[in-house]
Amino acid sequence: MLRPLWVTLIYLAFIILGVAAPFAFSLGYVWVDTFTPQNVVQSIITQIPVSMIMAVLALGSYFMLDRRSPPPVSWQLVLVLLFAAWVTITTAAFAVVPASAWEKWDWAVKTLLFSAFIPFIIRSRVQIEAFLQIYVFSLAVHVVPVGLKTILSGGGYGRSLGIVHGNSGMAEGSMLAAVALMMLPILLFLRQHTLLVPKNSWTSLIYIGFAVITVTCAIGTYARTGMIGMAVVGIALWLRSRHKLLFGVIGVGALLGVMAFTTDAWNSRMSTVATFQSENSAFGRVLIWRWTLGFVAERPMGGGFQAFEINEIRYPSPPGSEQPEIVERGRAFHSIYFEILGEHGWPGLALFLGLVLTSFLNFHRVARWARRTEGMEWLRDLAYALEVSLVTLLACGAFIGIGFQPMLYYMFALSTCLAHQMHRLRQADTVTRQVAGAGAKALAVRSRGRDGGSLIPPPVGAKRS
Amino acid sequence: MIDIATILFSTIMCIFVLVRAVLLDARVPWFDRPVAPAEANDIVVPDAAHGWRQRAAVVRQAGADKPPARPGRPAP
Repeated sequence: MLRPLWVTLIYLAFIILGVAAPFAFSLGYVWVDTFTPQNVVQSIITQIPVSMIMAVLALGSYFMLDRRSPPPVSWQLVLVLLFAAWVTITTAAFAVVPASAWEKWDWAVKTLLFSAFIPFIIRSRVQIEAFLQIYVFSLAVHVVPVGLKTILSGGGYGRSLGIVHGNSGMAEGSMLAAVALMMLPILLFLRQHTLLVPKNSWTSLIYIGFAVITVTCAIGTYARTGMIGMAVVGIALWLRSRHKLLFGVIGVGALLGVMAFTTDAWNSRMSTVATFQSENSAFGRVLIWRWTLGFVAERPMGGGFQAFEINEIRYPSPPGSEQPEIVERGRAFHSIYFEILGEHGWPGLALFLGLVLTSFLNFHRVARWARRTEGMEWLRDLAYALEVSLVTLLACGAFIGIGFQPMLYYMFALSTCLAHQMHRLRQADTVTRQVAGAGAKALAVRSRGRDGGSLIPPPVGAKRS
Repeated sequence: MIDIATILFSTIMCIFVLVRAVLLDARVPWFDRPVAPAEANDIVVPDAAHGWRQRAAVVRQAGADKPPARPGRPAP
């Protein structure tokens, strides 16, 4: 009784705070999208379109009240809009299962369009951090219960330890593991550079504890994707670390800890990564990828959303065995790359890879500029953290079909936010230098007795307009 | 128990961060050198002073000995 009431009050709090600052509506949308209150509690919130209300408020308040400092048109914006247009075309013109295709299009296109909108509404350091904090604390509701229950009682493949049950979204082990590991670099960044949460030993402990829980959550799902993600995030963090020796020692300690505390069941499941041909779930992935390549050879424009529903995968019977071959119909793509290739063809994959490439370029440019600029350590570390998060998602995504899940597009959008932040900071720097130059000139003019009052213009961009 | 504690932790942190963000975003310049929140809290934006008496009072408070010149006029 109290739980639904509490969650409804939190939803209303986002709306009330949005009246004071329009970007709160967009953060409310992120909260609804990630926390999924309609799945967490059964209340009036399940009866109303919570997500649509927040989206309308976010868009409406932006266009009516808050169109300050819009980002310049970027390649990323163009690519994401082209991608949204292309997935609409493939759904309308090339879909092999139109009914299912339009069902997935409905939420996928919203994800794409909202990611295009994020750079317009998230423009300052405070807003970028608020976005990240709300995103990770919303994800906490899915990650923390699994992580804590794994510590207390051990996890298990297919065991439902989270708040949301089922086998889709955050209830699906592989996706949960990928998301949990994606959070790790962001949490380490927030621990070091947070402005919004007071910095002290308690809050530092909360972030470190939360980071440890993300790893135990990934272990507790028993997903092999989690193990691959742990390796990738560990190596990427080590490469980006400024204290490689210390980080290496901690990493080796963590690895020994994982080996000591994980059960035989976990170890035997992980060992199937190497012997995938003897394991149906892993071998099925290889077969579906082969099918996808054959499918796009015939239909280079893809088969629209949910094209996998028409496939038929035949598992060959072991040599010398009398068992008949197993036939599986409608097996999912289990990879973002094959998902996008199968559904939206080569043009769709090219657009998606373009988004990935521009994101990495953005992170690289921002980190390079911030490294050389005094006082920009936060921007450099944030670019590194998000880069590692994106690498982790892309690595895990090679084995799970999360091609249209919001986390990827949030990373793309944040790369634009960071690039925009760098661009405006550079502009402000240039103006400051020009103002300093103009000030020196004004002093020279005054010293010659031509007093014309202040010649120094107010610094543009240094103050909110 | 864990589920309820997590919901509370998650939602309280979200609202805490949101309130702090709404308050700080109005104070910290968007595209300027980083300002720590503690300093941002101390930033006082003076009201616009109309008329020379008020301008002089503002300047006296700031420790200067003369009121500022109006644009295009000599200093008093």
